[in-house]
Amino acid sequence: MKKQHGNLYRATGTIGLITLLALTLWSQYKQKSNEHDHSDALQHGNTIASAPLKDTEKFIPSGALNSGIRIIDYDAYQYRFVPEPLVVYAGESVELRLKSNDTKHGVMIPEINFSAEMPLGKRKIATFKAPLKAGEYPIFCSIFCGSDHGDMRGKLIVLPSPEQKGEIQHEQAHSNN
Amino acid sequence: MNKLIQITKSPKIRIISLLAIFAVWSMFGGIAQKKLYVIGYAVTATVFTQWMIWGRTKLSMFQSAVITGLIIGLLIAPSGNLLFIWTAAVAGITAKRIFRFRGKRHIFNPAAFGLIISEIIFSNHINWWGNSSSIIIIIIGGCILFSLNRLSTAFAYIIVRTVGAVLMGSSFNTALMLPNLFFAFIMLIEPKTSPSKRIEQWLFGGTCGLLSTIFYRFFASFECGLLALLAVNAMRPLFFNFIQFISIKKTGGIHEI
Repeated sequence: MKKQHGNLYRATGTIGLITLLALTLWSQYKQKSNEHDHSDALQHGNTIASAPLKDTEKFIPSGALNSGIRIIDYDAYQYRFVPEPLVVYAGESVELRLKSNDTKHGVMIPEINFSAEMPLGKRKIATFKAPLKAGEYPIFCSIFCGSDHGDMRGKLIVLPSPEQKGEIQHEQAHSNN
Repeated sequence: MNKLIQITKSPKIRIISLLAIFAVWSMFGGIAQKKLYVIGYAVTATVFTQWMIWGRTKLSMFQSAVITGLIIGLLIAPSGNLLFIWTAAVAGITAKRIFRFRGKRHIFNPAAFGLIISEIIFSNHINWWGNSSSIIIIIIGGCILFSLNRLSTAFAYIIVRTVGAVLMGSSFNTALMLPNLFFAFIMLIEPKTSPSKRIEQWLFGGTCGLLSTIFYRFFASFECGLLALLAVNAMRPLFFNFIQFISIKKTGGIHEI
């Protein structure tokens, strides 16, 4: 009787496992993925539009300039980016040295079409050109990294370039006269 | 009532309850349906594998399979590959049957073994989503470990991992990040694959912390903690023989270090 029970469990387990495998393979092959797209910030209920910049004086550009390229070490943790905010001048070339520190993350700045994986424990270089328009641009995590992944965000602050600043000051002086 | 108290005294029931609390707490982070599905799938796969290999077993073995399934489900990304989960479940439970020490106890932590095998085959889909609260891990997990006399293992791992992280130039709170806490308080202390004596626990946890730091330095894209745990599991039979050798020498009146 005990042996029969044992065989019944074995049979159930075997059939169940094979059925599970078959269903898995079938679903992967046949069904279109309706998975949550972790790289789509809108699915997290976040706005992706940039905002105008206030108080430009308080921001100091991140990283350091090297041969005209701004190089910044950009790190990801559950659930934040460092440095926060990421501050650059309008129009400059930016080199981000990306790294995840606890689990794998990704970074995306939808408005400038920038997206990259952030490898765990080592740095990866990704470059982009800062937009010409000064403002605040939201940054999101593009790889599911935990329960608060949807709230993991940062800011790219684009300061007016020195040339733009000079133009703005010239315009202001002109309108005062 | 007495039966309920008896049930709650069982260590495996406590671990299952803790994992269930993690699962429920993590559901608040969104995509609850998918998370539930992944957990259910993993537990189903481990239970079916258990039945396929052993047939009908004691309740404690069934509980072990459920724990393995829960851990796998809580670690793999909810949008991840289901085949990854299936492979991890089957490999983990099968390893309990194949790799045994002196024909009795299994050598490798089944969840860790299954996850590493799946990671080798499919690349990394592990993202530790289930460990969403350090307070739950430390307080409730700590109480459970205290009742199981396994706190030394977790502490040894965290201390060595912290020192290693600082020496390698990382932040001192690396070991206190959620994935490491979950690993130390839940996975490292599996009773069948971790030691019960205090000095052995310190050795076990400390070695795992050391190996984890080294692996992280050189293979950062891999799950270094899990790899370190498997390495220490594999070394444990050697530790056991070494300590037995020392004990025999001691009882023989000769003190060796």
